[in-house]
Amino acid sequence: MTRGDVETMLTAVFARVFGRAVTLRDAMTAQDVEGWDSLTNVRLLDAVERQFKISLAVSEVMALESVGSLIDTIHGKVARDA
Amino acid sequence: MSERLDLRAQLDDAVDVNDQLAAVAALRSRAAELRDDGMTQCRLAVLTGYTSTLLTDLVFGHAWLRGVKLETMESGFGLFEQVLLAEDPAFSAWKPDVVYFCVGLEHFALDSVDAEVARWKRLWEKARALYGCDVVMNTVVEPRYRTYGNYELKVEGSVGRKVAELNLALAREAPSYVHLHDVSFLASNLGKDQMFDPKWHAVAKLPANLACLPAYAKSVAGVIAAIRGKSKKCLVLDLDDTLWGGVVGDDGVDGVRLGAESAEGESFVRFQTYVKSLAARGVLLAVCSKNDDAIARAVFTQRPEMVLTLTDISAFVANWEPKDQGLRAIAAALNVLPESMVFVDDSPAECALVRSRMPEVAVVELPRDPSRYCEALAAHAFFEPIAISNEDRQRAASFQAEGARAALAGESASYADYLASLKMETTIRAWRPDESPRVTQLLAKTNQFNLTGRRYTDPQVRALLDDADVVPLCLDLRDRFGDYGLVSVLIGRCSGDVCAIECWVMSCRVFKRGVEETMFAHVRAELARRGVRTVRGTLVPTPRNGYVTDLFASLGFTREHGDSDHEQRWELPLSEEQA
Repeated sequence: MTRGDVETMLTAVFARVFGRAVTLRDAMTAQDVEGWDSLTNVRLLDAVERQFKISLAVSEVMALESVGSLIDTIHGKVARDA
Repeated sequence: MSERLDLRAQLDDAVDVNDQLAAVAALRSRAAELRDDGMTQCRLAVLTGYTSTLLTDLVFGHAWLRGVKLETMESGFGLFEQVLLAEDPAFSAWKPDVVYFCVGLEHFALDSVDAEVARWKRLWEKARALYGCDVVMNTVVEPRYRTYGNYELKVEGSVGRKVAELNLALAREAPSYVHLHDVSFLASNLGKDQMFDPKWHAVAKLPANLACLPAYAKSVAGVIAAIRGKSKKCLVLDLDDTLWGGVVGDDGVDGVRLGAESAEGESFVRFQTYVKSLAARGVLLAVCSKNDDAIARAVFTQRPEMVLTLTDISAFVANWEPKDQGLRAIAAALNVLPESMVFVDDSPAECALVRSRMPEVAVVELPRDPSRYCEALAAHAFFEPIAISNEDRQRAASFQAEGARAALAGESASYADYLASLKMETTIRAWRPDESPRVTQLLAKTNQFNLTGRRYTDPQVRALLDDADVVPLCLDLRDRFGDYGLVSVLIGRCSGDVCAIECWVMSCRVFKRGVEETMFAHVRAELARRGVRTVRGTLVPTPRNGYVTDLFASLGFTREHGDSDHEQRWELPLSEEQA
């Protein structure tokens, strides 16, 4: 799975959780998206785990800073697990 | 009513939690303008030790499905005790009808079970004194790790032992206004690994994993519905492939699968045993089945493996009318509202009919595998009691004593609409040589729609295809629920301008859908095209083929004079313009 594939699938996950299309950018953070509060963040990461069939460690969850770092984290785990 | 139908689909078990949350958000935003007649209003205070907003939202949706329109107010995270002890004016002014303590093991001090239970009793009493409310109290779930492993329960003072003691003590000490929400039971059903990921607890303090919140909410909603008098009262059961395996009209009383000699038969015994236990504590049982009444009852009286007896059934409807009519008759006979009824059937088509025509009735569409029936019914939490009385235990008997019997209402005009909604597609054709085993099987197995009871061997069926005088027809049916395959066979034998229907069978799965009329219209045209001027039919009545008693008359045939009741002869002239 390429980084681009991850981004495409992640866009679908965002749409499902936020109930609307969200155009992702690597530099995007929670402040940039309306409704991205701590609860939505949990829903997002839970949906990411189920969609990509990966498990995020607590440290990984806490280290996430931006959409770009989320994509990198997912990409790294999917590549390793594949 | 369509809102409730849509919502049912949106909050189905199979729907992802994020989609359920979206559906509830839409519902909440429109709740004020939606029809709520027959619903009961309820103010629910969630006094929580968790981040329970998502759970509360889902409870709102699942309670709506159960006829309870909630208003909700939550305490801040972890403030379940403070709201009561500080007599938070916002809650006191609002006066909740129900207080739900959404708490878990980490909110209990385990030093002394007695002292802890005493503390909770004070909180319950305080809530009752402040608001005059009912209370819903979570039970506690033991962690997945034990200091003593399998030895744990033998150790006085171990966590495992204390959790077990605590749950029992909560149940024992709860006054009648305190209702347990048994999270421990829920977790043992869903699986703790599925339900509690310590990571999400650490990160977000959710009461359970997101994927399990819908089931959690449904469970809480079941308790709230019970408190508000919305528990179901009557369980209406299909018979064939619901209480036993197979179709009694075709397989015979001795042929249906029931009892310990097969795994499938055992599954039906298990389901009947569960249903009987519900009846014993006051849930009314009724039967609504497409069957011949006498044949259906014969299974109850003649099969020793039956766990349910006719005296367990307070209203028994077995006939060929659409099932919503049976349900209305049962509701009238037992004097229960449709909203108090649960209809259980293995057939997706019957379930869809009841959903669309009686949306107030809760429908449980059974899974394909009968070994899962008990779990499928129980997961809905439809029959939650909040107390058990002697009257409950005797209810079924009293209905039986009154001799309640469901009478059937006339067929309603919208049955045609239902048939149209099935989007049936039929193909009528000669069967192919490679299909002769299926044709032979259908001819051999079918008892209800079978005019002459004539049996054929496989070679005979094949030979029919090569016989120039024979009209060998079969019918395929599919509808929006799926493909039924080859479900009817008609064999005509021509001699000059006369054709005799020597055999006609149809699977009972497709009865009462107008299939026979469709098929015969085709047969009639085909025969006319062949130059046939007279169609003759024979009907040999049997104890099982009552369904076809009036078939020939309804198709326009006239009974011949001087025939016998054991072998009726019917005739239909075909006019030339039909050719």
